Amino acid sequence: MNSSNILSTRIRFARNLESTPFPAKLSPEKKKELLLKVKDTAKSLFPNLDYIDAMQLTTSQAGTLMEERLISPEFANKREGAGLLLSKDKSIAIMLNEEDHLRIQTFEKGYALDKAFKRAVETETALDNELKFAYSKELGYLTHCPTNLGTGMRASVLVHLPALTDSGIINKTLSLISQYGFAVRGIYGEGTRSEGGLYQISNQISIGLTEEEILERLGEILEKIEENETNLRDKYKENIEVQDRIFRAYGILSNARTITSKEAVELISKVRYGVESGLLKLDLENLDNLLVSIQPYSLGEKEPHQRDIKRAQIIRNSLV
Amino acid sequence: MLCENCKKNNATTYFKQNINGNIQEVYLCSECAAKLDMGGMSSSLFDFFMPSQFRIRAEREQKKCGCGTTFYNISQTGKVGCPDCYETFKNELAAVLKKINGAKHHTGRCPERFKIGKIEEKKKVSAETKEENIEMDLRKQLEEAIKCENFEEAAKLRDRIKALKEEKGNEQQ
Repeated sequence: MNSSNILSTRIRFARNLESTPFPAKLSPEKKKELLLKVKDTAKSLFPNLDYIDAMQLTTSQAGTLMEERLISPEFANKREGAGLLLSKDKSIAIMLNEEDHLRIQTFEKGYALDKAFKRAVETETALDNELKFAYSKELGYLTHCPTNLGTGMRASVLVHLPALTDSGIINKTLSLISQYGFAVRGIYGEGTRSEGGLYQISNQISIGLTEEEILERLGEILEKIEENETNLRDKYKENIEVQDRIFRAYGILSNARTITSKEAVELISKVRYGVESGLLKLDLENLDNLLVSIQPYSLGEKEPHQRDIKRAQIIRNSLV
Repeated sequence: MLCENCKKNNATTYFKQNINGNIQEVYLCSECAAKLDMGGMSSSLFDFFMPSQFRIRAEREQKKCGCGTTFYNISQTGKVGCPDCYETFKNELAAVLKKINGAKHHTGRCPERFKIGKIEEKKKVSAETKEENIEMDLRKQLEEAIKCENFEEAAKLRDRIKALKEEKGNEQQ
């Protein structure tokens, strides 16, 4: 599979401690106790994890972590009694006291379901030996929301589908994906919208299938989508309108003096399309990083107009 | 006769109701009957045949999980209070879980401490299916032998199937 379409891969396990009320039912003191317990255990097992007290985070710091997709919007907004364990290379992020006691997440660049899964299992197994996660033979791992029962796993990939999006065929593709038991969400997960032909595809069903079966199905569905996207790209390869849109996008990004994040994402998406089609010679990873660094919180500029100026500048510099 | 609601006490009360020609009958113990009576006869019997609503009302007053959650709380938020809630409200949640995941069972990974049991269980299941397969095979061969009027072979096969069954019977005892 041509994995350059896939920007990143994430595996998350929802886990809870036995006989302990879920965070929504815990008093502030009990939440603190739980944070300490998990933090100490995790740090003794994995010394490269840094602990971040969510309450100490400023709104902008939390927003940046969300834009980096390391924490959920829910976690960023409700930081009372929550914590984060983050590895130095940002490939492991464990949210504490979000909806569940632990949300163990592993991240990989590009398409790497197996690798991310393996690391998530290693982390989870080590933690489980010490913390003892709530589990029932019938229902699997017990979670706050019954929809996460079973494996408690959500495997997701961030895919870039500009040709399917431009042609409007994407709606058909998306409805097909949901028929297979997979969900399509925006870049930041639940409740967020898609921008610039970027979609997060993840499993909806977490019970009745093994983790491997879920990953296999996700792989199959991605292969199908990939095939459709590639076919369309080939079809429009010589299309002058498509080429025009790509080069115009590049023109605006390399020259604009002020730009909103919405416009920037749309245009970067087109430029990315151009690079993958061989029309533009630019570094893909650089573009993908740009998608994060131009987001409002990551820019670190409070005043909207100043932010748009700073954004345009960062883009111009990185495209040189 | 046992109470049709709690299935624990003896049924002492008989309710019958006719709603638009739809006759509904139910046998209850005095406790459940009292609960049913609280909301007034006509509406409460109707509720009884909508178990979720009946239960919600009952749980609101009685059953609580160790974490303080009632089934009413769960029905309001769609989320449970603690891992033990799944056991406490097992019956009440069954319908909900069926809706969400088709009452499927977990087949994926499990904690290390549950593993030993699981492997043994799997072995047992696979051994059983293996035996069944052998028996099915033999039966097929037997049918073939009879068809071909190869009675000598058929007799042998019949004895083998018989021996297999006896073996199984002895094991179970």
